[in-house]
Amino acid sequence: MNNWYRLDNAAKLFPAVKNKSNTAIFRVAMILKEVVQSDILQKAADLTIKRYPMLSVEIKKGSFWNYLNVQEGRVIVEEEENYPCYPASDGRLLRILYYNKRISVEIFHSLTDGSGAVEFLKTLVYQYLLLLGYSVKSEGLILLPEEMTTKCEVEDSYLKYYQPSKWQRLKEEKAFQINGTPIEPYGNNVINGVVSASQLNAIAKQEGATVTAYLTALLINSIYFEKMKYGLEDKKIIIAVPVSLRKLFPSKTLRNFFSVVNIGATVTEKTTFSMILTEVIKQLNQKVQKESLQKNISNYVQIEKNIWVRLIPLFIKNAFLKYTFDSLGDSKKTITLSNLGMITLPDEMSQYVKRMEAVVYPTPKSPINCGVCSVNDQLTITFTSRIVETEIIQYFFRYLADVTKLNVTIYSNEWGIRT
Amino acid sequence: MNKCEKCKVTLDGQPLRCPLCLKVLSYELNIPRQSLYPIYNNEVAKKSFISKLILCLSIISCSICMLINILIFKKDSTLSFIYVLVVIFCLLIPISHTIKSKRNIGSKIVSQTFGASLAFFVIDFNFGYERWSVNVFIPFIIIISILFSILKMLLEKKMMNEYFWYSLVMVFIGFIPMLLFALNVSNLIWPSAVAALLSTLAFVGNFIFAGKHFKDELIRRFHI
Repeated sequence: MNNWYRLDNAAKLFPAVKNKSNTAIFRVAMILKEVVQSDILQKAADLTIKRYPMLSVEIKKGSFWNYLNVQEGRVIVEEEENYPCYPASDGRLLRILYYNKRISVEIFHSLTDGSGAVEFLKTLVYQYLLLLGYSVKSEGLILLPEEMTTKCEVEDSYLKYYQPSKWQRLKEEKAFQINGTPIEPYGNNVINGVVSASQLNAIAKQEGATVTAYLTALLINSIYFEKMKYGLEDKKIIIAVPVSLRKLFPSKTLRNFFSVVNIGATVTEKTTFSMILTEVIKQLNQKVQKESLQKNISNYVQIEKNIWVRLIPLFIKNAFLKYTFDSLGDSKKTITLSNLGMITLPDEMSQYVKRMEAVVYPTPKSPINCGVCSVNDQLTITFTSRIVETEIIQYFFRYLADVTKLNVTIYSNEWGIRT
Repeated sequence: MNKCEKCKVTLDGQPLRCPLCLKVLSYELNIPRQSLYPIYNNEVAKKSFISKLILCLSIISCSICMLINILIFKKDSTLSFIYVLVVIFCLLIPISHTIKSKRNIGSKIVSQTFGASLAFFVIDFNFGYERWSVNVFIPFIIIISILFSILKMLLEKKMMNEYFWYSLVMVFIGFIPMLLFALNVSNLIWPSAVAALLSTLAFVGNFIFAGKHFKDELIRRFHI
């Protein structure tokens, strides 16, 4: 097995843009039905990390590119003490945290994406339950620690599925940006809303939409009603939706393999929710297609493969990447909505798991972001906010509770409220 | 579980306020509070305040010294406030970069070498520039730094991964005194020559004792 890895195409961006306000650290968590035992969790972590060598790494600076150096030390399990996705001052790229009944995995985005993190968390919790003495079977749904890591799991799938094509300049207008009062002290306020996954799916289906499309449309509607309706803004509300490319390309990689599609709508007083939803469905159908995503991969990999780009020293590349991210990436979206989808667990394991959470880190130009995932018919919608104002989130959940008549349960870390 | 009538949602974890509308909620005192998230402390903010205080005090002392220096400039035409500035600078580097920081030891050695060299040069320059800094002090600081980094590399297993980059930097730094001599900035050759020889030997030693590792590290660091 390698003792170092090149960063994949998406991973190259994050070390250049990360800072206190853009940590590039996201969280996936499982809430169990019993209080977590830290010593057992540590044993489970020690076994699990061997199966995921690509996560036991540190970022090192090269002359032309950063790279991931495999670390020999163990991952220390810690009790959660700080707000979710806080910046890593000690350079750790993977954190395993526990608090009460929650097991959280916080990962720097250069290592993997949401799908890779979920696989790691599934193995960790599976191993934890086994060590507790519960009789759980993997049913082919868990990557087992005793299995060898395959080459396919550590491959850079962007390079594998890259097809040379003419570089296309993607023209996208500037998006409406959410402003607000920064939370004091600095940190992330996390607001979770839990609904029935099957009921929400049925409501979305009635409108001919998927859950992602329905929530995207609702988010656009909420932003318009709470931030734009009485203003003079006529900018587009754009939702950045990360898409796992594993569904469209036969990749088994546990590293990054995702693309982001921007779904937007210009909303006016006359626009109804169903009109927004129709537009969102149309755009998702157009953009989440193999051909369209293949173009995205080709565009980005082509830049990476260019010999002149490769020969530029790292510090110049970093400055360029930072500028590109600020002006072309972050300012072209209003908010990110990342749906990890329905996580399937083995039957015997799912009885010990109550629900899951996906926490997406905010950025300076996108101070509220949203993560969605579901397990055991419990769909958790998690808003991570760095601003005091909660109108958008309030409108969003009140709509779900009031209009769709779903039973919505809210809980929060109360950052900036209790602290 | 409590309900927020305004937001029409159920609230879990007994929050002090509704997380959506921020309305203050009340509970019966005898119900034990469920905790879904920890109670956070603000140690980070305190740490950052101490750093800011140290920086602020440093700026105040430098400004006062500079003001006094300007006011008595007619009587004493030396820029003595520079000494205070250099001393504070030399103290700030160890505090922020060496003691408090969790940076790699190699990075600390390099920054200390630069910091101390600059401090001695400034003092020498202000004292009439007798070149004791460039002739003796700077070459010896570099020699000590190279010896210290060699010692660290020999004592610690993970030497190549951790210190590779800095050991290469130290090799280049070792030639700076010779460069200064060539440019007539310094006029005493032997300390500079010793520093250059030592850095060459350190590089050769790296290559002999960690040949494969050295090559692997070069591939990693310079891959395109």
